[in-house]
Amino acid sequence: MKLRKILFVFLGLALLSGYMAAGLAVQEQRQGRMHRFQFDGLNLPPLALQALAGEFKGLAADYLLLGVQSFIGSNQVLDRAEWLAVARAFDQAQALDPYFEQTYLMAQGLLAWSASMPERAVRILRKAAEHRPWDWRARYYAGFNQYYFLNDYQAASESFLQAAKVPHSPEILPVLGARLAQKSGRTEWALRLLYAMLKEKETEGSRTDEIERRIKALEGVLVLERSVADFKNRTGAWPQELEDLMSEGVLVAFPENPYGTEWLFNPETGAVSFDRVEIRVSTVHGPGFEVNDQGGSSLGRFSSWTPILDEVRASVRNGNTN
Amino acid sequence: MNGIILVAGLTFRQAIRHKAVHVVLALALGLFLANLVITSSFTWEVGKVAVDVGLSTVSLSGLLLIFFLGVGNLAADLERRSVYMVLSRPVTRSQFLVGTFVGMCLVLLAAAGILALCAVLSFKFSVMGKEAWVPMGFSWSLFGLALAMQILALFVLLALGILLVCLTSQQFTALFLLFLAYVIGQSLETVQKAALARTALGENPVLTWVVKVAGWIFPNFSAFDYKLAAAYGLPQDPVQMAWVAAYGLAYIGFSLWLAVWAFSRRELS
Repeated sequence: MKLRKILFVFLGLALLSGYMAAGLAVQEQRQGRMHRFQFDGLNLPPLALQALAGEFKGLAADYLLLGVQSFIGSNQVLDRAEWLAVARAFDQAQALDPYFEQTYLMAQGLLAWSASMPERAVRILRKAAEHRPWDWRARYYAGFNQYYFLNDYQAASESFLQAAKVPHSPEILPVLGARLAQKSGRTEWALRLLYAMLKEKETEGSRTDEIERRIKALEGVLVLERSVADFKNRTGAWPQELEDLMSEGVLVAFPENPYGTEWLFNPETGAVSFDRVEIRVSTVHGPGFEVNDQGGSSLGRFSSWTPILDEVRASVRNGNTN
Repeated sequence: MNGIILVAGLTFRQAIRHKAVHVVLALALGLFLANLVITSSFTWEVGKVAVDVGLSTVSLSGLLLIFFLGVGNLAADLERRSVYMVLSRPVTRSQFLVGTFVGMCLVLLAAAGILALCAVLSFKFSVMGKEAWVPMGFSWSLFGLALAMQILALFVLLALGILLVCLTSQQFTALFLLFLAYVIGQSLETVQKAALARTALGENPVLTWVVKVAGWIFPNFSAFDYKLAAAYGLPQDPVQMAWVAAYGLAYIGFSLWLAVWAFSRRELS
């Protein structure tokens, strides 16, 4: 009986030693191997995943994002297929829970910057913006990607201005939006939005100094753009400098630039700007409206813009901001 | 009425002595710890993740109780004919079924209460010091409403389970059909939308008919799912919620009525 007990203890010790020896060998063996984390995600369309997740959609979205986070956290260099799998995981997580802030913030950080897929990031940001009307950041990031990565000023200005409409959004957003709208050749449109924004901010009791200043600058740009267009219509060429507008009798006086600098003019494209900050890409957009003959004296030409501005203001007062 | 109370009490006492309740308590503790670990892995909207995990665990444990304790036990009792012991007392068949349903509802309520308390505590711990990441519109009243809707969905599944037990004669068949009904009920709305939105499928009259009929047979569990709304504090229309509650109660009532009808025609001898 005693012998059996001793044998039993010995058997246990032998098994334990065997296990430890084998365990150490396996550990050593695997340490030498090149380890690489894999991420294929779930190769399912978001709709199928929605149907499968049932009532655990939120939890499934959390799980997918945790998977992406762990994979990215491994600090590996990802190939195209892996980035596509990550992008798909974001799409799936958003289909399961379109409200989650973590999804769009991670997509912005990873897809736009690291994966060179800004358009995928914009798609996710726009969907997040649709579901999060209280959140200005999704719209702001979409605008940033459209401007910085995709060079689409029109879309960027729209995104910034939509972000600006969200209560408690930073004061700079309408200004940014209007700048890009103007750069994309839609000064009048930018002005309409700024007038609307001004009205909203005044109603909210927020500070409006910068918006008012930007409005004044854009009103000046609009006057100059139209004068430049008129000049081209008369002479068939862009003026060499803005002073040519005076000599040709299109303009009698320059509008005041609220930023205290001179108006800037590009004689190759006819574009007018109120400051020296330029869009970082080489594409410079023209004034963006049809050149047509308006006629009239130079004084009349300048003062004739006031009704246009009044008309724009009136349309905003009537609720038409388009 | 006395018969119903008698059976309900018996079912409740029998259930809380069952090992499944221990499993639920273990789950509650697991949830409490898991929520702290899981939420710490997220940087933004930690509160949302805590609500997700909390309410999902309530749902999951409710499902386990229904499958393994409620419907499983009832089906086994019928299969083994141990139901005679109860029916030999002054209890009608309808009282037995309704009493079993009420008793199991009480078990589900007790379990959901414990788990919800754990969910609330784990939420509080998870967001401690991270109050900024609690979704803007989050409110405990909406959390409570979402929990109530979830419990109602569990009651609906339980009623359907009792009906399936009465219609079939085998425990395995009843549980399998109930599982299918649960999966279909969860995905029905998504499938309906997808199938009917696609022109090729939407124009197929047979498929359209099948999808529409299925929508009347299987309960639409998506309608009871307010987890996302609770997690983000999304405003909800009380009238809409009242209709969902009425839908659930009507489904329970009709399922139990059918179950009583089927059970009364069943040959037990």
